Amino acid sequence: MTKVINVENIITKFGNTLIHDDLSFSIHKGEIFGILGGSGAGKSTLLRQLIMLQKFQSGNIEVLGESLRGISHKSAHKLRQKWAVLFQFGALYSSLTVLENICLPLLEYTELPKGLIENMAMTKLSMVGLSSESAYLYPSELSGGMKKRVGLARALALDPELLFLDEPTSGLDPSSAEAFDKLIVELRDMLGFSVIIVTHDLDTIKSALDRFIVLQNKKICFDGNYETAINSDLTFLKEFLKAN
Amino acid sequence: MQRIKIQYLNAVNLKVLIANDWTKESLANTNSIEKDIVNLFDKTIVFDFTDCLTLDSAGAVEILRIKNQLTKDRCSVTCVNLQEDHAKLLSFYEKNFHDKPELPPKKYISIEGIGKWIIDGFKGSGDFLSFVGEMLFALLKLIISPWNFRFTAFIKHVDTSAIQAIGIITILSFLIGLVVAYQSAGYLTKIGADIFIVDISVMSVFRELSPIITAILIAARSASSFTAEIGTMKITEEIDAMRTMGLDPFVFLVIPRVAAIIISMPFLVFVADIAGMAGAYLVSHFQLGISLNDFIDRMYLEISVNELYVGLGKSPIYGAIIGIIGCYRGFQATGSTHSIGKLTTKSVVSALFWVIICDAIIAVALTKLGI
Repeated sequence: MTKVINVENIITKFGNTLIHDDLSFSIHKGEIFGILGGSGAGKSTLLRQLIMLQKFQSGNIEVLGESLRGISHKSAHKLRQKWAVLFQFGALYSSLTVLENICLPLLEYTELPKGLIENMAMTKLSMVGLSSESAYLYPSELSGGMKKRVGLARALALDPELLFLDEPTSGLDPSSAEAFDKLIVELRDMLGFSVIIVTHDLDTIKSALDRFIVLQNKKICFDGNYETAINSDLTFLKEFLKAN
Repeated sequence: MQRIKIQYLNAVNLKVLIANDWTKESLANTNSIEKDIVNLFDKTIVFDFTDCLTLDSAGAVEILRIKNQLTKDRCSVTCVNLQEDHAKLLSFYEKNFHDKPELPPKKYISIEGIGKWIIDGFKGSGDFLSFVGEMLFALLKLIISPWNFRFTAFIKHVDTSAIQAIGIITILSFLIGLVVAYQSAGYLTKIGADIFIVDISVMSVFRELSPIITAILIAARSASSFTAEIGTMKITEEIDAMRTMGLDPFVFLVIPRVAAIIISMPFLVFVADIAGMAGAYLVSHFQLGISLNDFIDRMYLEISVNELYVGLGKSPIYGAIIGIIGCYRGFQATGSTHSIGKLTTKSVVSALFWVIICDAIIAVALTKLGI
């Protein structure tokens, strides 16, 4: 299996506080991979480092064969078009309508004719399960779940190879959360991208993740799938999976 | 690279060969629906994908667009010889294919629009009045139980709104005093009335320029920041949180801000007066050779202390206008962060607007009263 992300010996410090102490893991192509951990365990920091929003002090991260340490502006720019991020609250541009939000990456990065772009955007909107009536709404007129779906449609606009999701089901009701998990799995099966999810939703962990790591005490305390985690004798892990 | 080739099998049956790459890159700058294909009517068409190499979402949607157009033109379309993953992709996108919905009708200026605008205007003033009412009610509560006054917040706002503004107010007033004196100096020497420079500059600075310059600066600094602060708190539901805890946002947020501005305005205007005088004196001295003693004597003898009192007296009114409008606009924030930017603009503009209207009214009233 090809590795899409390879993390080697990452150490992160904020001032004098150590956040990550020597993390190493890798993510394979087509996998739905979870980054789990309690609040403040540094999950989001790790995600931000993977998508070049935050620096790390030592070690190396390789994404799609490109090393993030000392990456040139040009290759960083190229890399950013191959991945997409869904932020926790959708991070839709509030001055643009839903349709414009989804069209934006296509308009910026492709030379496709406008009509085709709009058709593509409408198709992606329907892929994430939203009706075409919402196309001309502004983000402030959407519910939290709809915002996330639109954010997902925008993330899918450029057919990314990697999809990063930051707590995709937080703030959704259980049935919407389940539907969202299903949607992610379905899209992955259909489009074949790899997904990296930061979450602590137990249902997502059970139903969507192929494999996950658990961060605790600045280190990775578990790396594997749900079955092995349940059967392992790490008390912390059992508590974590039960408590969530 | 040709992506589409049309073969006529007979008059009604034809075959369209889909070849090469159908991706975002290869479809760049093409006219979306290929020209020769859109003029076909009532045909039976087979899309042959044998030579299709790559297909991504752009390619799939493009093919679906063509297919859609043909179906509209009463053609029947079938796809054959697809690679397995292309077939999967195409059917997935086909299931979700959608045209852009009709744009909701645009609003033009109409009689209805004008009426709505006027009614909104009335509603707006109603909202403003109820805001002022709520504020006065909170004030009343504070007068009855003054220990509830948020003194720390008040001091903090005096610091950020007034004390930190002293520097810029001093510099600007100094320059204004200097400019007024400088502009008048030329004319006054012409008619040999050098000493009148004191009357002109002192009167205009004390009565009009200092209060207005101070109000403009405070509106720009504080009305905007009040709106942005309170607006953000509204959007992040902090104000709702306060209300549910039984804490009156007017007592906590509005009164300390408005009080801080009202109370500090006269002091700021006084500072502005001194700076303006300094500017005027500088010009009188170097341009017209008036000594400090002469300057002060003339001021003492000829200019009524009322000039000073008028300027200082009207400044708290300006302060109230600025503070109340700044807070009121903040409370209007709804939904998106976008609204805060708009409201901040509105708050500064309407604060200045009403300050100047008020200034005009006061000027006329005082002249009629002979002050």
